[in-house]
Amino acid sequence: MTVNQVPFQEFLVLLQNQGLKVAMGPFNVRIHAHHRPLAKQLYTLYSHYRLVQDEIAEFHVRIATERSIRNPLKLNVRFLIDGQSPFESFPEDQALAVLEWGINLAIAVRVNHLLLLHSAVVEKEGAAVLFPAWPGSGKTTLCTALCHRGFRLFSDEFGLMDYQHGVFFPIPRLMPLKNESIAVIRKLLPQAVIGQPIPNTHKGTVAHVRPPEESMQLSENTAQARWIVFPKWIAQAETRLEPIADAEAFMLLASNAFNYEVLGASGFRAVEQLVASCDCYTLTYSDLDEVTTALHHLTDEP
Amino acid sequence: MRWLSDNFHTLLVADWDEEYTVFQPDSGKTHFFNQMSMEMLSFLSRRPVSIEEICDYLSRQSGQTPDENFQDNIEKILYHFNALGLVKKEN
Repeated sequence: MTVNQVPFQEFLVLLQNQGLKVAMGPFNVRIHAHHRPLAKQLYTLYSHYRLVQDEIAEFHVRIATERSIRNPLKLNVRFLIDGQSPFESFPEDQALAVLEWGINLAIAVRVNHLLLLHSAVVEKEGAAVLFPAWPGSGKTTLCTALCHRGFRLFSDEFGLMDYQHGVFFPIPRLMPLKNESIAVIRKLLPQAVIGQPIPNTHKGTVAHVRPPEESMQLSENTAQARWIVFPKWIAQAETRLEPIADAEAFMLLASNAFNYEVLGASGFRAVEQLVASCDCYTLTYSDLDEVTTALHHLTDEP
Repeated sequence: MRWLSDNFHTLLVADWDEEYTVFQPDSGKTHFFNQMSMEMLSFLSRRPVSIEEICDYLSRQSGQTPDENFQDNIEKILYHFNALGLVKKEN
């Protein structure tokens, strides 16, 4: 059963009482919140998320509301995981962004049975394309465009590699567009469902894109990676997709993983296996139409 | 003074066509080496050798005639490897 199959009132009761338990890729997350504006946003944007019933949740998170110390008339929100607060509190209108960042943090810090790459991942015809990149390289915007134009969304943020079996787990979640990319995607993809812009966050204005329904429905279907593309958005740049040496790709990928050093020799062998099985490229681009065509061309080659 | 690599056998090596990525379990670090650096480490793992012997071996492997700069460069690499815990000195 998915979120959009329950009435809003029931959804609200779940969120406020026993917790809303939803599947996010290979993990289950239980979310508590007594914040009606957040509940409304979640009801729309999480509409294709699968509700989990008799399964254990790996992450228990909460958005708590509290009065601002500086201004007692103002409400703030605080993210809690297992009752602990890893961040400061934030203005209440940032509740959704805080929740999503908090879940990212929980995954980044706690998941060590998988190689965890900081990477967008999409899939086409059973083969995954990785876009490893640090913040600011445009991977969320690129990923949003691709997953509405013929690619299946795995993640705009995490490459979750089960290195025992050499496969990637999908973890399709909301994609947080930032600043100018919000208008770019609205214009490019009028069909995309995008939440209310949240201004004045520490990343500027953020608006979350709902993952396509098909990507959510297929979110238990893993895939092997076949291409590793290191993307960089540069204003006015032509689309350039250039092969890079495997050793260079290895070092870039190892430095990009959240938990490469924690995994030690297993991490090394995982990255070796990954690079050996993929074609590796750097990508510079500015035009989303052009880059989408170039990536379809790449992935259509036999 | 002689140089020796006594932990070469513990290194995990991925060979990328004359370029190498190497995991060093002692430090948890991953290094990027070219062909000459790998040959040097491999040579040092057999027995303690002087810098002259290293230069002679590497020049024969690469077909180059060693000059003063070559030896200086090799010495710099050895001190770098020493700092990384990949080789050590024996007096």
